[in-house]
Amino acid sequence: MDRDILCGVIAFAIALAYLTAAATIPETAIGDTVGAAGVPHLLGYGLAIMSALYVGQRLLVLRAGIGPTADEEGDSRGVFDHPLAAFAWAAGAVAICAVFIFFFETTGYFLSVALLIFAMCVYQGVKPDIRLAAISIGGAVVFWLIFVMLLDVHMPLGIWADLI
Amino acid sequence: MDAIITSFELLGTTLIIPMAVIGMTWGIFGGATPGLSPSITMALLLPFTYTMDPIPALVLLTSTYVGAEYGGSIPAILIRTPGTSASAATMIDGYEMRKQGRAGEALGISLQASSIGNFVGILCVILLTAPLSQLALAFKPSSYFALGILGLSVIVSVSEGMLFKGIIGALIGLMIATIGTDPVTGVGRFTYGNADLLTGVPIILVMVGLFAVGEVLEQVANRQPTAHISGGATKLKWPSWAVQLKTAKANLIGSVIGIFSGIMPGAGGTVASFMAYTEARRFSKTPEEFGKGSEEGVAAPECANNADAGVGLIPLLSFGIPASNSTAVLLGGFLIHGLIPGPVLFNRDPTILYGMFSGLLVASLALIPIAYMTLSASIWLVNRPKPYLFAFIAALVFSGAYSINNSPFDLGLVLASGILGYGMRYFGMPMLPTILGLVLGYMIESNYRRSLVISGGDYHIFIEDPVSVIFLSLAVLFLAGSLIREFRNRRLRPQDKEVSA
Repeated sequence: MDRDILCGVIAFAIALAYLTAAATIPETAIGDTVGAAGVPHLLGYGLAIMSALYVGQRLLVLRAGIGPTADEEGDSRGVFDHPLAAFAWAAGAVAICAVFIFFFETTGYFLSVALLIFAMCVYQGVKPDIRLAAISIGGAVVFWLIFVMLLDVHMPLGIWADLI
Repeated sequence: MDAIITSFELLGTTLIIPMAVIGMTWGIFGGATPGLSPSITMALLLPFTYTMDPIPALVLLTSTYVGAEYGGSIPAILIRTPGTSASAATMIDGYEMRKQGRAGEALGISLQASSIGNFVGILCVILLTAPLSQLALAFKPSSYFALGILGLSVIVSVSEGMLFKGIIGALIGLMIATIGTDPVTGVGRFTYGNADLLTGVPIILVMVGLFAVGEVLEQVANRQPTAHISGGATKLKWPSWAVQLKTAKANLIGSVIGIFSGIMPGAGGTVASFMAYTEARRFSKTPEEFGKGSEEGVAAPECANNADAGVGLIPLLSFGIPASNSTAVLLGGFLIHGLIPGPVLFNRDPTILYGMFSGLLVASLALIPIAYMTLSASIWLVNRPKPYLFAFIAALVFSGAYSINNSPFDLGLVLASGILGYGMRYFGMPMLPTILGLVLGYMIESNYRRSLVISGGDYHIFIEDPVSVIFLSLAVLFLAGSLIREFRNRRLRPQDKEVSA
């Protein structure tokens, strides 16, 4: 599917989901003439109309073979020449970050950050050796010094709380 | 003049000088790193500013903004990769000079032009912000609503060639802004019982996610090896008197174009630098040198994009409307401290803005010595393998996001915003409309509804308020002009193709 048409279709789906959610906003007796759901409805319908128009315009352009194609519109898309591969690599990075967030308070700040740096580097092709381990631990030390010691932020100790 | 004197009086207080120096240094490093735009460089600092007093925090952010604009020229000259989009025009002659073995000279000309542009831009900010913000004292809710609509109309110029995507992005930003407690009735919207969402989606976290995490995901997905700067021993060479005389006209052209471009919402440093390059060539005594290593070709665009960056602060500081990604992030810096830039802030607590002005002046003066001292370090940093850089950025972003509310929910929000940012990059959607929608959403909705409450539901209130009429008319004119230009360009394009064929 053409990338711009896909963009319009996703935007239309977002509009529908948003409108469905907006329908559940309760109205109150003290409400103004617009109401709590008024602006969300306006935005939802606005997005639905704009995305439908965009898909229509792209279909017309593709059918007539006139006007700028997606690549002529000045988008620098070198990174996305192979979108599935790019998505897969980005999804892997998202997964690493999600695991980091999930275990952040359990494993504690220091270990989580060291593991995040290590995992992100390995994922990007750095050899997992003692040097990388040292860099990851060194990075975690620097972050600990900045956030905990210098900025006085209460970062989670996690499983290490009982040991300290 | 009073503004300048008050700004100088504040210099010795509240860590202004150290923060200006740190911000400038960080900005140069960030600008010099391809892939890190000034807005991302600033966004990375946002969480740090949370625990600071407002003045040093804002000085840190604005100095970073100024430093990053110069830093972008370093890789543009040395490896033909602009560190920022605004430095793309500098690359044309800067890289040619580097090929001729004149890299140090090109860096020196770029530094001098940046300093001039910077200083001119900052002077305009100091002199114009206060008078403009006084105008806004007469604003009513209907005026603020109209101002918000005018601010949103910027999306048509920042979305040139992709208007639909710009509008879709703005609507998504406005939708995110509706999450939380309704500003009039107090009803929860899209919160689903989550207490973290009652106060709305924090703009700062969305910005950090969209800019920084989105960039990390894109760079991780990009498996291409990056260019390497050879010549770590490059020395910055200050331009000789002869070169300074030769580039004086180019600097003047760059300054003037930068000022006008900065005032025009949405034009941006990239447009300013290319316009300055073209005009400098038109008025040059040696136009044939352009594209072959012309000193003027380096000076004009650098001066223009730095002047534009400074002047670009005026809409934000006077009316609270950000006109670029970087000023949107700076707005985040204000919001962190519960401050809303604009006339109210100027009248209630002008010290904060004067403190910021003095920081900008220090940063402008500190640019030259810091650029000398950090060049080797910048080259070293740019040459670090990208995997380390992005792993550390991810760690920094999540550490900073957690430090704001000590909430893992915020980390999830940052990651979700990063995924949205990555998706927007994939679809080639401009980021600024979404940020504008997010930032202006609350202002537009709350003032729209308050106006209607005041008028008893009568929509005439928006045309009875002269300020509102002026802003709405300007927004309509702005939209109409941009739409006409957009459709004209689209109609001309096939003919252009035939001509070129």
